[in-house]
Amino acid sequence: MPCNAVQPTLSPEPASNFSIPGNAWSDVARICRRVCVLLEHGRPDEAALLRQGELALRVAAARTPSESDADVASRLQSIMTHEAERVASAAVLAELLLPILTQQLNASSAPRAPVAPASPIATPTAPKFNAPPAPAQRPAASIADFIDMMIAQENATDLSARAAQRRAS
Amino acid sequence: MTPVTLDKPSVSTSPTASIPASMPTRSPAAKSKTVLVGFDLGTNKSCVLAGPVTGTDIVVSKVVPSVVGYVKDGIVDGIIAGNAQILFGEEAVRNMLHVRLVAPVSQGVICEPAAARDFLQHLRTLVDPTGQAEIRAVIGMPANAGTQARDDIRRCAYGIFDRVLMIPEPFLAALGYRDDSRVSQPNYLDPVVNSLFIDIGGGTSDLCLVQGYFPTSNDQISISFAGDAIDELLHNELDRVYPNNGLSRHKVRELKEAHAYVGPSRKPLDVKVIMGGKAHTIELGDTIARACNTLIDRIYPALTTLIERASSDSVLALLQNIIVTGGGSQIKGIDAVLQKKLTDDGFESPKVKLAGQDFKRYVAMGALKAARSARENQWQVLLG
Repeated sequence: MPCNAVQPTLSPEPASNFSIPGNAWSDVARICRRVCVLLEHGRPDEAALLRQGELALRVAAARTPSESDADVASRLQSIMTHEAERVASAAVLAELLLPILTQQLNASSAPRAPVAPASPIATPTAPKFNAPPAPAQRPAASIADFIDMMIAQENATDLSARAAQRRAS
Repeated sequence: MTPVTLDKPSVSTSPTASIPASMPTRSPAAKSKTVLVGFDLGTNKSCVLAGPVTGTDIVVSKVVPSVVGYVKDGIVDGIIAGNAQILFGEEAVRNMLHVRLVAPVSQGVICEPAAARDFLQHLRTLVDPTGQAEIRAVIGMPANAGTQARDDIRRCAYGIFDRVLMIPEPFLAALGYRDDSRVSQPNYLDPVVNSLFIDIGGGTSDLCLVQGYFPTSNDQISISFAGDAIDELLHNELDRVYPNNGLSRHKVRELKEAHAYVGPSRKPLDVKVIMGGKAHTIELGDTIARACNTLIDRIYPALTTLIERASSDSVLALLQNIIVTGGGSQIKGIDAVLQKKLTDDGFESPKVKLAGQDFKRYVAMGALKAARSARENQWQVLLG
């Protein structure tokens, strides 16, 4: 799931025998994002390992014969910059979201099933939110819980938009 | 039933447009009961289900073409039943010669606010003829619908519905499709726990991973290619092959709904149509295949993208639960073609299923379930 894409772990991606060539650079972006998350979490050694290992392999697989080294380096730099910005924004957003989500979860008096994270954003201070168990292993949340998650997502989107507006101004 | 009061809404409520002077207003004190509505505002057809707050009864179930007909000036008395000035749905289509037909929805979102308001008001009348009830509606939205689209719905619903919730349509389809009586059975593949919904409507095709939590924006893909786009391709192709055929878009849609298929050409597919008052037989085999296979070309990459986004722990079960719903599910062979493409691309034992004959109602059914489950503080109050 998308939240796994920013999971701060070094677990390898599941092997795939049906990858689509057009998605090769998406794979590179995903690895870049993991590198950025590790850096965000203050784990530069692991980030460097990932960068020299899996990322290099993915880049080699993604590049076409017609692309020069300079082209590839430029593209990689662009992806890395973009992902670094996304991760930084996510971290800020998570700081803003955490008290809101906590407040909402506490406000509800109805008993609820264990819920998955309300937002795809990785929360550095609460890493347990990042890894919901596989769907097959857990019951679905109640419909009201789903609605709570939806409202939390909408609020996060609003917050994000406002933050972007503030940055722009 | 006692009207429910809301202490304080938990979410910000809508900014709304200025309210017309003719806006019907209802004081809370006058409301004798609460009616819950599940509402699928579709580009071509809308479905509205309504029932009481408790239980599972559905007291109103209607599928209405999403069209409003404004009676043209100069129509003599008696031509339109009751000398009505505005007609809706089938009645508007039946009187298309005498009305200006307006489609309030395009690409799944409101494009004609005034007509949309009239349409919503009509639907309210269907579910609450007395006009005295408090109406709470869960309204389906296309996957990834933007803030503007949501605000437009709120503006149009102000003064018509008392409280609303807007939820993405493919998620509602999963809720509606779920057989609640089987959820506890161990071998039941609960679509809410792990499924991939492909909802092919008139304006948009919406794909959504549903995996036991509320789908994020990354779990949903909305493509602005669906039934209407197929109609357009078909119409253009017919115009090219049979110039001056005079076929209306409405007729072309009828042809599509009767003969649409995907996969290899099923030529010959001879169909009798009336052109210029004379019967002609036209060959539609290749034409329909080209138009409908374009839909496959558009949605298949989105389908594989979402499958690849699923976690490795869940993807095998997910592949067993890919469900096609909406009007597009009536295209012959769409399940088999998607399944074969997935198999050919190496995906592990995929199973693509059709939602079945209730395809027009699943979104509204899910919406009504959501309405019955929503907590008091989750409803949005529409403010002027």
